[in-house]
Amino acid sequence: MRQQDNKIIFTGPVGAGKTTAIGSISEIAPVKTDARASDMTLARKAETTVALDYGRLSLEGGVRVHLYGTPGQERFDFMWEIVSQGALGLIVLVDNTRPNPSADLQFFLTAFKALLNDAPLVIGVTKTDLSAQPSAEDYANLMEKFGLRPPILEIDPRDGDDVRQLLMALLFSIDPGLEG
Amino acid sequence: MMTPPQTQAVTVLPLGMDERKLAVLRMAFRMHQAIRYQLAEAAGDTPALAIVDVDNPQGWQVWDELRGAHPALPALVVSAYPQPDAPAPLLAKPIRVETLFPALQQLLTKPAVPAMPPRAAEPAAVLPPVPPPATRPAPQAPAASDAGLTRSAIERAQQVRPAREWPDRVESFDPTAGLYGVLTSLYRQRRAAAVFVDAQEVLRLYPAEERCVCCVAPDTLARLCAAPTPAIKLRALQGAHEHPPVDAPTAQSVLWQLALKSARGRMPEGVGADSLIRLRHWPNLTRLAPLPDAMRMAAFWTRTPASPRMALRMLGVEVADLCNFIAACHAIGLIDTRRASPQTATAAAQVAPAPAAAAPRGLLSRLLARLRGQ
Repeated sequence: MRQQDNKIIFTGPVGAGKTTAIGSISEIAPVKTDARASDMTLARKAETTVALDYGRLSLEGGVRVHLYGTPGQERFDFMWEIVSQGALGLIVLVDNTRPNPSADLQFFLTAFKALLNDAPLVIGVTKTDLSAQPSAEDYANLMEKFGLRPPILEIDPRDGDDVRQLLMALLFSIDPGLEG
Repeated sequence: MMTPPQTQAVTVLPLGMDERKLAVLRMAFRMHQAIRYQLAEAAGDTPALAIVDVDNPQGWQVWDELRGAHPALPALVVSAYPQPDAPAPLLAKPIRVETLFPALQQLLTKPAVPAMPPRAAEPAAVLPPVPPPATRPAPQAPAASDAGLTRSAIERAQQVRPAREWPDRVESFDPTAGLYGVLTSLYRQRRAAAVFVDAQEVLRLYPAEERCVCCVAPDTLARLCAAPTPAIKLRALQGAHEHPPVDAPTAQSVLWQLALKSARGRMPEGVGADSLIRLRHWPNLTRLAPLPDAMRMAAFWTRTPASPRMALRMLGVEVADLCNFIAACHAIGLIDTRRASPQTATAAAQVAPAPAAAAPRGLLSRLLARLRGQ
């Protein structure tokens, strides 16, 4: 009998902090697959994820939860559906310093539409210290147009507490009465 | 003391669902008032209905196994995709309370087919897996579970908190008075102003910039929030030079904190045990003062309109924390309150507390414990 796919997906545009977020909570050194950026990505960071980032959390009873970070570039979107199958939930990180973060968010909602039929969504807004707009309220109003009321939380992906809050919001979105 | 429900619970057998989907169903069932549904959690439970998710890795094989074991059990098929040849009523994903319960009720009153045979011509147990027809989406992942695993997933019920009763008396405060009343009013009206108490400047609120500057020490602010009728004066901030410093705290973070210091476990007047509340969206909890169980209350009240009485029963939080949460969300303009209809209030009062699951901790509970460092 195969174990269930206990995995949580981190997605979002290049530079939003997916690799960092996984690294800040994973119990193992995250498996990163960064390469030197060679396209428009170079304008945002020198290295970028070209396959998947991987981290892990071990739970009582020997069960593991796998954390996958998708590559942010659209040309890797063929991987997104494969990796997201059976996921517990989706965390979209949005970089507030990009030219149009609201459009980024809509893009990823569309890309992961199949997963979101079943799984909860949590939105983490990063780099709000550099750019306060759009605000969490602006994103909430955008989500309302999609008929969604997901958790929208400002986070610093370097801060493990912030990233843990994202995961807890995901769990309470499934069952607000859940107790650990 | 609540009256126990008059009718026996309707046991629903979920198939093809992982723990996440089961948790969603369990929560929905615990909230439903007109009919008490429960998941078939133990091997001895006799189901009255079944819900079969055919988007699972085994696809329609789960359905065939159901029909092999329960040929006449009324069932719903759940899928995100069109299923024109579905042998039972189809419930489209995402599953919503508004569609789930009418569909279940329909099954209870008018089962679609009294005794449906297995989809296959021979008993499912001796047949190889049926390849999906073109109209069905093929399983998109290797087989991750079988009927046994699904069963064990049910049996590993998530741990939930024990229900709490709404107390006979809850203290309240006037949300239009004091610093709380003045600040929430200014924020709603988007008016920038400096706030003075007894001639001392206390706060500068800049709603357009979403900033608020606190001009007094935290303990002074707490004392002023506790004062029932402080002498408050306002000065409009209108000049071109009247802008907040770039590093000023956000208006919501100050209002949230001020609400906690003002409410102190009391409910804003006008919000009763049976008032229907819904949050317009989640508060930005990572950037607001911590409040116990704020996250579970945010998840609950963004999902559905519900009364404080219902929230207490479902979430088992402290009454004081619940009142503080409502006061804080009201201060930052997140709450949409409506008075419950008499029928709704009555129905809420008649529902018995949901029993707490005594099963070992499931995956989600264990993950939550892990994140909390337990």
